[in-house]
Amino acid sequence: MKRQDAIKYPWLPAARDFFPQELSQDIRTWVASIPSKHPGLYHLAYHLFDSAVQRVEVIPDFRPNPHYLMLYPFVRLFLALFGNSQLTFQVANTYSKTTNDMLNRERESDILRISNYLGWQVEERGRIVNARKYHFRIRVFDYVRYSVLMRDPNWKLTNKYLEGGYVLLEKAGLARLLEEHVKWEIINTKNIEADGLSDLLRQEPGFEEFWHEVEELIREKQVRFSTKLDLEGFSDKHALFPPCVKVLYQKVTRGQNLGHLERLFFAFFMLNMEYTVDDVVDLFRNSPDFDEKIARYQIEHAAGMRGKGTKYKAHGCSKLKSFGLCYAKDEQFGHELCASGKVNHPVSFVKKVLWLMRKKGVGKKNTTGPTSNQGEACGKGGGA
Amino acid sequence: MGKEAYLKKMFQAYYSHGGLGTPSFFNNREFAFVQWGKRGMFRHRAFETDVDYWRYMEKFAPQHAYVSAALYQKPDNLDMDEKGWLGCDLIFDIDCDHIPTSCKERHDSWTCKQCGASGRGEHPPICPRCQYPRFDSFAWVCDECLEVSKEETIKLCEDFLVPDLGLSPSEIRLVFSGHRGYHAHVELEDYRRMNQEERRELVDYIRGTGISLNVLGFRKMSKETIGFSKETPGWAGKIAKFLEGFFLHITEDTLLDELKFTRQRASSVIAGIPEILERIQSGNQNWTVKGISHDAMREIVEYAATKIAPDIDIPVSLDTHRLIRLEDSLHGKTGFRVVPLRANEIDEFDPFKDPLVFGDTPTEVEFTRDCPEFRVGDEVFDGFDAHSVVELPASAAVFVLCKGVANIT
Repeated sequence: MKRQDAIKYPWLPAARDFFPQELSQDIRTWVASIPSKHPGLYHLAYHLFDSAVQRVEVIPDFRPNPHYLMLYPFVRLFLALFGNSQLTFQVANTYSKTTNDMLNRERESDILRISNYLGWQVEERGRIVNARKYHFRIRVFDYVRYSVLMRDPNWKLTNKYLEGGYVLLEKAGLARLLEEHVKWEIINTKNIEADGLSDLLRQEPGFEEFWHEVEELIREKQVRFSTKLDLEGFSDKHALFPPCVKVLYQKVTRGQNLGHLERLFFAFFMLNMEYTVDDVVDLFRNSPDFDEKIARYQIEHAAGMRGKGTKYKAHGCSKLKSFGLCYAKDEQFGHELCASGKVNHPVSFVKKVLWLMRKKGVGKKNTTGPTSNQGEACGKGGGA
Repeated sequence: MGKEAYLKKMFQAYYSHGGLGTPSFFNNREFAFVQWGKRGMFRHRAFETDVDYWRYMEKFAPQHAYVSAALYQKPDNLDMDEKGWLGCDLIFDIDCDHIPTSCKERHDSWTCKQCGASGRGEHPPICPRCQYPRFDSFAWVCDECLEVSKEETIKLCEDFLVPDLGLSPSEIRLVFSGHRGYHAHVELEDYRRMNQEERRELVDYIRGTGISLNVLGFRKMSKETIGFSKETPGWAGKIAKFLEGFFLHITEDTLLDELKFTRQRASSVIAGIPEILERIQSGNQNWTVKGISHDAMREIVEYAATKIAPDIDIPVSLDTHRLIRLEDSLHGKTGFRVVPLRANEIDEFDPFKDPLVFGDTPTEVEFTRDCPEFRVGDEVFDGFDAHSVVELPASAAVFVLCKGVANIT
């Protein structure tokens, strides 16, 4: 591997060969040496964080230099210690998109070399399909590892040219997959890597100040979105249900049996919608094979009150589509918000509809009881 | 001797001959069994040697035997999280139970648990007489059912696994499940490592889920309909190939019944067939022809996509801890052997003949309910009425006993 590649793409496993020896041998020694050996690192990291919280996608003046090589492990370590998932996502996004920008400037042979460094099975192809040239082909299992993380239908395997176990890709497509790889490498940095390093780092001159600067940066610039589902002011939660849930709700209240997956999804969703265990048990009471003891046990398990304490999340739209449980375009239950593909999770649907309704002044906080407009939110083509 | 004791004795006789095949990575797989006369599944078994395994099978001769598609460090650990997951074979399950066939109207039936109303075929969602949603169902399996399963399995292999996933026929291990269908196992390491989300992407590809005709290139451009070429890889090419056959054999009735076209619209499409057929065959992607509007063509293309996908049981392929029928074991609902097959053997495979292991010793049984027509080996048996006592060859006797329509006399 060339040193220049390592400096530009320090996330490549082989780039470790160019890290200071201390890092590969003993991360604690390396951490302690940051201020003395890499004084510009804090400045570079701050620039990255600042751009990230301002939602800058590609940092234009982010040119590779020797500090850039050290920036990557430092940023991952810092984010793991800092423990702010929103900042982690934003930094991962900006860093990976900036990487994509660099990759797109590379020649085909260079980007091929970089993806092969990762162990991906990519080959140069030069195939023309529908008047477009596909420079590369990538093994399907390497492709889906990252394509599943992207929502755009352009990335769905069903919509790709697949032959002989390979997916045809243009140069920009391969760069985009690499971008996704980098993004998730940063997001998935295990906290364990930071174990025991926190105290050590905090003793280093300048680190404490840097930490406070980042805290200040977030306080000043970051817009916070609540991830909690705030249903205050909406007593008629049913009006907020997406089509997939409305179908099941109707079945359940009519006393029809739900399939295993339908039952799981329905229970998870209701619990996510802040229905109590008792409420959910009551919903299933009409089911022909209802057994309160079994139902309660399973719902308490789903609510995290039993077993390992995991509260389960309702299935996402892609999973529901796979199982044939998506009714986005259903004549009776369909909703344009779902049909447009703008939501990827039934709970996101609820949040979006809530936001739209509150914008219209429906279900404002401090109001009591349902308003007459609530029912319009989820009707076919309504609400949005 | 009771029915279960008789069947267990017969199964034991089969297992005592030994020679059962063993799955790959034998020591890393979990085994699970349903024993005769006992409720529930006995799970988390592992065997150190194949001899231990054979002895177990001979001793217990289970009604149903399963093995994990997943590999584990400790397959016998009772806690799934502690088993140490190492990977899972990619499995496709084709089961005629999920596929609508006309024969179900002949041999399947249902009875409402509340009012006793009954009917043929699959039960409706609610009883048409009293609206009660629970039924006693009776499901049978016949040549037509297993022929459909076979066709879907061949479609899966020849249209998807080989050309698209690039698997060679020797990399696909087919297994007759012993009852309603076939399984396809892919045991390559790269596929074995895939997580559930990645598997779902493959399954969605095979089912055509999430297909976007626009992304694939079907669009309207300056009043012209741009279609697909048969040479294009993936779904675009598959649709073009399907449409070639579709337009060759289409009748007005297909358009009226299946696509719900009006008579006028259907006639108009029929008139445009020679021209569109010529364009598809010559690779001309300009699909603007007189008589077939862009919207009509889009509906035909959408219909094609639904017809191309093989009918696989989706949750089976997504499950990375799946228990699957153990090859060479006997299926407790038929007494048929679970038969491993090479991809090129499936065409010739006869699911009512090749998995038989019990020979033709005459065995007397009494039917406990009406039994539809069935075939075992080369012999076709007409249906039997309840309470009739007949002598059948052992393989046929075991079949009707396992299917729950007869008792041993």
